[in-house]
Amino acid sequence: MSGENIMRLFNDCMTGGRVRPLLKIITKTSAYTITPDDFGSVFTTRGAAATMTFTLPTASTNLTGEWVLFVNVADYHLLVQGDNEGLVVFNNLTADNIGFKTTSELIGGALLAICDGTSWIVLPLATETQTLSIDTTATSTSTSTTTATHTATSTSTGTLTKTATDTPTKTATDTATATGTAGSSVTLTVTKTATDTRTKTATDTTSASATKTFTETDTTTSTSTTTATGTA
Amino acid sequence: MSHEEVMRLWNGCVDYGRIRPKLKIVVKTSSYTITPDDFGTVFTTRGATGAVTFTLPAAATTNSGNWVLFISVADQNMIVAGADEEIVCFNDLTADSIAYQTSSEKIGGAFLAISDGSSWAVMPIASETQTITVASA
Repeated sequence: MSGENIMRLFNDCMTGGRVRPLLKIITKTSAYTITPDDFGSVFTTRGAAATMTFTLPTASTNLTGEWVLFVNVADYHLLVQGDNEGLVVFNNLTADNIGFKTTSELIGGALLAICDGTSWIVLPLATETQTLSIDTTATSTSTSTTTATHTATSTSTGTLTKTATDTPTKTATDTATATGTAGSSVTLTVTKTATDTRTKTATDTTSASATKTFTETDTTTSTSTTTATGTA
Repeated sequence: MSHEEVMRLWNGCVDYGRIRPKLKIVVKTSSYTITPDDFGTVFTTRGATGAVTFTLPAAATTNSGNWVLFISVADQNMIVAGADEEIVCFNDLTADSIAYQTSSEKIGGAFLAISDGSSWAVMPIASETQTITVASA
């Protein structure tokens, strides 16, 4: 056969819908992790005697377009597990796993997993009464507000210029002038209230699987009382 | 490579399940009209911020056997529309469009469209609680 004829044969096959390759069928009866060699395969659970979990590899751009079909051929749970938040499924862009877990609705359920380079999109091929089970890891963000109050008091004498620095980063300037009759004493009382509003961000890791971010607003009210005594 | 080896290779591919081509994934975030170059493609709506309508070309004998798969990967309406009365779907031989547009039931819905030369048979691939909306003129 000449090269030209080979190309004609190939062309006929591709354009005329004559390439109808057999599907590669693989049976698994215990938990299994999909490898690149498995892409484009149909996995069945025929003969399984317990829950079957298939674990997909991490989605990545070089897996774009890869697919795997899972068909439940046993009366046991069928689960397809992805990375944390690595699956797109019904009403969920960040699911962890999907499967058939409801008694009497297990056999015949199928899941088609297609990688789009970012996630594995897992589509159910099931009857209208077959219940899907979807698991996700919850990620929550909460906000708390605390208020702290502290009081500082200082005393100085005469014409007063005072700079006080508080940690963290609070500066108050208090200027008072005492006047009076020569030879007499004058008492000047200055009461100052300063409000310090700071926004702090803290990261709180409360479990191995969840990271939560808190935004905390801390309002500090600082009160200082100054007494000035001067002689003209 | 001899002719015999070529044929052996070909046979090996076709007979033993070794042809497992990747799917072609195309992302669309706005409405799009399918062209013949798109046949055999998987379209997703990842990143869409509004409704996405995919419009199929008119069914024709030259389209017979061609297919397109549409997957909703955004919490937005996804509609597959055809030429007037050219969609066959659940309980309807002459539908105009089919869609996922019920709140909280959009993500993860898919439609497989296959042309038989006269219409596009559009089959939902969805969970048991996902509502399909069909429009007919």
